[in-house]
Amino acid sequence: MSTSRREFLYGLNASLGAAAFSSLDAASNPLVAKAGHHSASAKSCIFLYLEGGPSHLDTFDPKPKLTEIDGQQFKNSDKLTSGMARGDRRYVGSPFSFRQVGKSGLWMSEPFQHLATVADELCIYRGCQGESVNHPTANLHMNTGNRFGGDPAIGAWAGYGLGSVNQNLPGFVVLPGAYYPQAGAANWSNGYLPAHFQGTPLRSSGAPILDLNPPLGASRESERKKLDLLAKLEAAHQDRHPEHEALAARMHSYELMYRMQVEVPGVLDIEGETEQIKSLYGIDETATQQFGRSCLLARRLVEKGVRFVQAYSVGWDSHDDLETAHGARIRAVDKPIAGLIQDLKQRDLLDETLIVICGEFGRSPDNSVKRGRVGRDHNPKAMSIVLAGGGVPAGTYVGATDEIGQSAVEEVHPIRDFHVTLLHLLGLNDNKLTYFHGGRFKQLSQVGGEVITGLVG
Amino acid sequence: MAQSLSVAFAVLSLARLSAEVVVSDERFDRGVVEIEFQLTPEKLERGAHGGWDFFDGETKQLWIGTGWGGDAGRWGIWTPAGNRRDFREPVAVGKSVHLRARIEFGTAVAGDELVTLSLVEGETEREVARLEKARITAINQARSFVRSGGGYEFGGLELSAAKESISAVALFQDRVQPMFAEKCLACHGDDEAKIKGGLDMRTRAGLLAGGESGLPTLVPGKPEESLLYLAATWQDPEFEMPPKVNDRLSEAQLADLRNWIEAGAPWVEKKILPTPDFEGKFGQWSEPDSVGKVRVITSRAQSESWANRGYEPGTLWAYQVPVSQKPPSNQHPIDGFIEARLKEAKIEPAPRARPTELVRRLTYSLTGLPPTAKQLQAESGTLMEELLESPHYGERMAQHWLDVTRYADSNGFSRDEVRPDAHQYRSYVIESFNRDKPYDQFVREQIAGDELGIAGQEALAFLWMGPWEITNMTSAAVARQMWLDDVVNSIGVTFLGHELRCAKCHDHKFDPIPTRDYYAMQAVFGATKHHVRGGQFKIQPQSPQTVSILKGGALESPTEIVSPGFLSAVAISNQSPVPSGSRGRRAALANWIASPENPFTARVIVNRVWQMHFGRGLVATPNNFGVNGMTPSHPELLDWLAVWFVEEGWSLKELHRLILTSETYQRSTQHPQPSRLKERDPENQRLAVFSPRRLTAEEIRDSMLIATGELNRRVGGPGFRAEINWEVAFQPRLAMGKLVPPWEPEPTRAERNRRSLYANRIRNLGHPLMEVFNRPNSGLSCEKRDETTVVTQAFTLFHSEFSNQRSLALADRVVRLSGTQDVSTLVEATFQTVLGRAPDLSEAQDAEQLVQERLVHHRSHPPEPVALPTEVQMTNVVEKTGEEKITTFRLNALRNYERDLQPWQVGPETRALAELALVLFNTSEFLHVY
Repeated sequence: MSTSRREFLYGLNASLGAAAFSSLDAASNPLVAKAGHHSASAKSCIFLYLEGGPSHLDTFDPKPKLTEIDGQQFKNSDKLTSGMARGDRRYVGSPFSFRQVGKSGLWMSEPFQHLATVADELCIYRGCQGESVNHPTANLHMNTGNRFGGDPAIGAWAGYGLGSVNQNLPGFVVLPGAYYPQAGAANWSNGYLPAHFQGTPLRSSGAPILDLNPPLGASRESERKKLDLLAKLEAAHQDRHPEHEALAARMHSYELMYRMQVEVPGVLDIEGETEQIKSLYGIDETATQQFGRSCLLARRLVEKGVRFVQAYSVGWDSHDDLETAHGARIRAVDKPIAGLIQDLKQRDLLDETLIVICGEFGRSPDNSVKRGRVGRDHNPKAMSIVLAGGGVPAGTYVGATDEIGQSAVEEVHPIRDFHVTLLHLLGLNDNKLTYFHGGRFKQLSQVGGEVITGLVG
Repeated sequence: MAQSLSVAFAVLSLARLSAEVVVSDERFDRGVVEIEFQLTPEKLERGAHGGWDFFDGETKQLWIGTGWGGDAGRWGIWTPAGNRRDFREPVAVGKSVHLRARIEFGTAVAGDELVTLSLVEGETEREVARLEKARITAINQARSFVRSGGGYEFGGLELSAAKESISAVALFQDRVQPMFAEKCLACHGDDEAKIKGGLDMRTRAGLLAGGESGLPTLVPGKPEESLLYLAATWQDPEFEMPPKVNDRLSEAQLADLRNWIEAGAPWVEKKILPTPDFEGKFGQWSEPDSVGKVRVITSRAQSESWANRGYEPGTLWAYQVPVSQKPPSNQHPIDGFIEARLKEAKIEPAPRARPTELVRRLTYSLTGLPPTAKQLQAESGTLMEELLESPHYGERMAQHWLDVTRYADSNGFSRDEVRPDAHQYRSYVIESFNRDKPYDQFVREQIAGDELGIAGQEALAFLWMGPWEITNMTSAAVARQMWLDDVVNSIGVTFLGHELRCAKCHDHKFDPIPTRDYYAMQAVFGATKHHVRGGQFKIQPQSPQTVSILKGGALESPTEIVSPGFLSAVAISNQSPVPSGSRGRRAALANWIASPENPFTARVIVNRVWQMHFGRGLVATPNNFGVNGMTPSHPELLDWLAVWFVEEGWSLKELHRLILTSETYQRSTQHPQPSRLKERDPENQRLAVFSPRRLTAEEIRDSMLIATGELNRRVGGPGFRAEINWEVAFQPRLAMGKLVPPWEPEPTRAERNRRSLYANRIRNLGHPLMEVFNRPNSGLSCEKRDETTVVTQAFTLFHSEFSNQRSLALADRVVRLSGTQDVSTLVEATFQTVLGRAPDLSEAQDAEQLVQERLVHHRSHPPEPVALPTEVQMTNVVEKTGEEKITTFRLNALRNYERDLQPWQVGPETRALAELALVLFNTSEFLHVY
């Protein structure tokens, strides 16, 4: 009984069009768009997740000192943090050269060619610190605030706090890379929030959503006939069980399904985009085709009112062969990200769209000696998070790491403060965005945190 | 009938209230209060439904509704006994109303009938939780109110004519100072180095000096000029303190603060109670203080203020040994307790459910399976015995137990290694339930079966059921600590109904559990080694290692070494000290938990069983019996059941017998006076009716396989690789940088068609059908399955290969068994098979029309065979090059794959009938238990 009243349940975090509300109270739809706690600088967020641990030292945080001491022996006294910090270890200078770009003169490594052209839109935050040296726990920490999983992802919290502008699309969409990130779907979980707030992964081939369409050979007409019979049987059953209030939502979910079969593929069909736009995102080149498509889809989804889009680029775990491996990864995302920023800007959407680019941790200034190979291990104590749009100060740095980039030393904040800041930019106050579960009010930051003021324009 | 009109007070203006309180009987938990007050509604709201009224303990607003059943314009107040007093007074904005209410606290009180909460349409789940919390607060305040002679806040009415006024100094000591400690000092004094805004609240001088804002913070005598008060009221967005919305001061606390400032803000040094003489007094409570709070003697806390913290006694109900009261009548004891509460609320119980409903309810309750045709004809007593003896009983019980204990067949996280032995634990659990092993023994075996010589590794697997993250990047010390944290919390949640993890970094925020106890529990495992190799685990003794309290939970900051021990707030007589050697520590813990004197153990399991049958526990938070959990809806019944259960030898089957033979269990889901029931008990907490429930994910799958006749009923043993969406099976995922080979289901139909309980659970691999229907992930203990409705359920149930293949198999079975092509006969048989009943006239007509129309289509559209894939390509990004690389995997299990029945293997009649079967599998009737 209680469930039915609390949860007029719609959605795949998506849900009903206006007409369907006629028989239901709009106020009880958890997905209806809501005002935040304060005026927001960003209406939506595109979170570009570079999974594997992108190296800050080889992208946005040059360390001349490291080049100077390249090859010298490294010592680490901290035995608890990482089992990697053992054995014969040497400092590793970056294989890439760096130069200053844009009017703002931000530093970027040489493989970034396209991003350099929009450098003045970027805010590079170098003070964030995580806690976990392993990919799955670090991914979960960055995405959900809880290293061990089970908690809602940022996108789920955003949906919970702000609802959804478009009732026919999910409010939180995930565009996975070639493979799922470590820790899998828990990275976009609704956790203890109601299931509507779960991130919906859209597949790049085949049906974008599992079981969106009937099996081969079934026509839309046969689907309609079956749904009509189901509706009749349901109506009779509801008459027999007026006490069972949850039933109304069930039939509505079938009607929504019928509509989504048309709506979802429509958003994902990029054939209508001009060749110029496709080229801007690098969709016409093999190396950038996959992530370019994700970035373009992210823009299309945001335009349609999706609140939170997360797109993954995988494969950033370069323990060895840093130059080749990171070089290839950078080239795979460079043009797509720059294209996204330019495209949003030319559509006047950049100001209201917050772009976040980061991974689960940065990388170490040192490496164990492996037959002369150059690489880096995991390093949660330092990383670079790149932000753009959505009211963040453009063309600036916030925070800094030490002279070898081993640890953040200025504007140092734990991940939870970064989360609090993201919510803040979206108009939400972490301390007010709470959910009662397991005997206490829970929040994204777990224990409360503070806004990183430098990131708020 | 008059249009119902709702009226509610947005705010009760305190200034316009006067109240007179008479407490006729000062005995604990009993009293009569008469309140007379004048109030002026500031706002009237018209609602869609009848009025609502509740006392919101958090905002201290008394909401008074009117207009039930067309009685527009009448006032009502709920009395503790559930009677509504009506007041015929006109209602208008700005017009004062004079009210007089008599409020009685019942005898056995629990005060919880003081307030009746109604959910306002449109409330979100968060608000429901808030209201539930408010209800608990209200109960406790009602108790304090009576006990303190009426001098306490009640219903937002600051009772000026209180019998006993409290002096400003006492107000400071008993309420204001503890409130500062709880709400303010974390940022304004506890840590001198981290004082925020320059405001030090440790002393009066600090408050008078104020903070960085330069605004006067404390102006004695003038609350409206004191930033301290203004910030606490959250009127100015610049200064909202405390900053967390859930920490905000209540109206009563604000009133205390205001009164204290008005009285000149007298300050006395912190009142520290004399340090109790701990020895032999653990678990004892102090006498209630002036505001009715008690101290609890526990082992030494990390903070002195915590040690001196007062608790509302009512919130510690679970810490008291259950006492069995005589059932209120000569009926079935459960019905006696339940109906007493119904009588109080003047609600009639619903009549019995129909016999066929009861049979279906019973079979799902006890086996998670639908009834057979033969069972539908059985007498319920006989059927119950048959079901309790069925091996499927243990499977149904195990399902819930494995939810609580987080069962999975892999480690999760980076490597996600398969746990080849996990299924032995599952079989052990099933067999234990089937043999009706006494629950206390079941507890002992899982914690210390080896030390007690009563069970082996299969039972001890409980100690490593959680997800396990270990790579060569994690140091051994960190890994061990993760296990200790996990196992202690898991024991707390599973057996004691307490999240112990909350005490890891600081003394427990809500419960009387000092951090010392948390580490003492870890020290129990100081002599236990948790040997892991890949996915294989072993619990072994080891020479004892010391365990220290970790400051802030950080492994880098060990402080004092602790001896093994348990929760000190729970005292058990004749408790022998925990051995300090390498053997017997866990045995001591197991005996402490399984003791009849442990106040949690029996209540927790009895409540879990109750929830299995009624959908909601007597305690609605089965994993949380602490201060912040829900208070029991029927505390006397819970206690009676707990005591009875222990006396019956901890027999779960006896407990089922008792519950299932009650009238309460057998009631219809429908009430003769539904609108009255909805008004008085909208959540059905009093159980006047039986709440319908949706089938669980596993029950849906199993029931479909039963309908098609395909279910393989083999009990226990290793699990099977289930069929899942091919997209998910072939979804690339990594383990330690390497692609995991594609998931291939079992090649034989018989293996694939086993009960869902046995489907291998790989933590990093989804099972869409299970997940969309709310199967919990196995990372966290799940106390209760959710029942959300989302559109992906429609996708899955209507379009998935599994659903469509079951529909075809069902149609094929019906066609074969019916031996006819007569559509009307086939339609009827399909209804019988799926829903256990014949269609009515119009249903038959509509269904036949669908089948006939589809038959025309299928006759002219024979399907083309579709082959299974023989290999699959997956893309990876190579670590060394950063380039994408495609790897081809051969699908070996699919080479000799025994496929399900396919559309091209059957005639058009079967394909047409399958469409009807699919519709029926999607009906609410199939998916719910009534």
